[in-house]
Amino acid sequence: MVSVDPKSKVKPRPALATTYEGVGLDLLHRMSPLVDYLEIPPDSIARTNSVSEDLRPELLEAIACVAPPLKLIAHGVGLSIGSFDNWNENYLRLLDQLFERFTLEWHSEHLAYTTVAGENLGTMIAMPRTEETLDLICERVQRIQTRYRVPFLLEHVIHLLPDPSCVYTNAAFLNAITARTGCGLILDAYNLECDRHNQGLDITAFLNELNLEPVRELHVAGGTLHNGFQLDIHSRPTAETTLALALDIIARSPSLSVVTYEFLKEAIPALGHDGICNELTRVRKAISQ
Amino acid sequence: MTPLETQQRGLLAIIKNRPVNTKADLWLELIAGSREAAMVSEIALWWRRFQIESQCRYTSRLLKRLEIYELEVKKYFESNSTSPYIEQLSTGFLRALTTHADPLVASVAKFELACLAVNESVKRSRIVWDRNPETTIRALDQLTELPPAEADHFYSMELGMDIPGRVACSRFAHP
Repeated sequence: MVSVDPKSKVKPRPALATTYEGVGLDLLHRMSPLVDYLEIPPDSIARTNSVSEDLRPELLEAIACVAPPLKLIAHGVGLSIGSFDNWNENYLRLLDQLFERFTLEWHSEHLAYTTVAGENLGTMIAMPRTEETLDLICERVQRIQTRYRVPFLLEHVIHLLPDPSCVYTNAAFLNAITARTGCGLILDAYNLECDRHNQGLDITAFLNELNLEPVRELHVAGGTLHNGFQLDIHSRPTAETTLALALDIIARSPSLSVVTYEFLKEAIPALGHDGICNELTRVRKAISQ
Repeated sequence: MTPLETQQRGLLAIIKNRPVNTKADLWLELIAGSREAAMVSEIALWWRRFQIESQCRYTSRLLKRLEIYELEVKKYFESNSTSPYIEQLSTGFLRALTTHADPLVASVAKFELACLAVNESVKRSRIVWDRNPETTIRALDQLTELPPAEADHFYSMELGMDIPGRVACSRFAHP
């Protein structure tokens, strides 16, 4: 890893964010004093019936109780920006509702697909890094940027499957997208560790090649090892190695302003409210050094 | 078909355990039958089981008792276009089980489906049980022994927002 002399450039410490998926009002109120931002996944706070999907009014009220003072960012799961045929318009309707209610600092999605020909895969798959994909992603990013006048960020996802034949490296593909569209990036320190474990990613080479200027946000999380795979099921505290990598990325990324500790709502019983709050305090301390 | 469409349609088929022409693409040939693709399918199924369990409390408990929960979720996932939204996934799963060969599974699925709909629909739901539904639901709730089916009687349950307490049930002798 390349380290930067902290005295060489004075940079504000990044703010701290965490996920709120609509579970546990008491947890929300315990977390609120510990963070600066809430990351809201619109898909997770929606309720569906046979005719439509809508954000749950009671959760919007809960969010309104803490924002302000907290700032809000949206982080989508269900757009499926990389589907060959179309993205999920339903997700954008949910995002519209969130924008109608709140001021969001930015919003983001995963550089991936979850839907094929209208059928949900049940998981998120990384994109092949080809010219065809680059054109498709950039055209859709530009449509999103026209629709919502706040910054849009893309996040890389883990590669459980071996890559198809690719024209671009991981970093070169992200560089091409940000150069062509001006969109921002989220780096996920834990996802990079998963890719190193599962696919042998050289993280140092990746970071050396990546244009880090567009990186606005950094995700940290902890996951599990299952059948030899490191999985991005965010259900654990952040490992020391992940925090160390995060600090390296923070030092190298000039525009990075938020670090988000992510956890799944399904992991709340295992992590515990105390555990989550302790983790937020720990991450805050680490990124404030 | 573009390479991206070929790969995405092929991967969908692999994840859903459907026939796929792996000769159409080198990547599909590489991943079909691989441990990585098996892991991706396992993750997709794991999420579906988790979501259904959180929404369909009684049906999932019954299926687990019968040791067919994983199998039924797998069957449903592989043979249907499943929704990413938990409510739609759950109602689709329950609806699929309403014609299950085991009459108790069908009754519990119909009951849970009716409970989910009772606040939204003015229509009444009628469910026939081969055993006492109250003790059945209590047994599923408290993880105690299920009551036996009654050979000479059946129970007719109705759910609806116009029914006092939203539910009514009567026991009848088979004609």
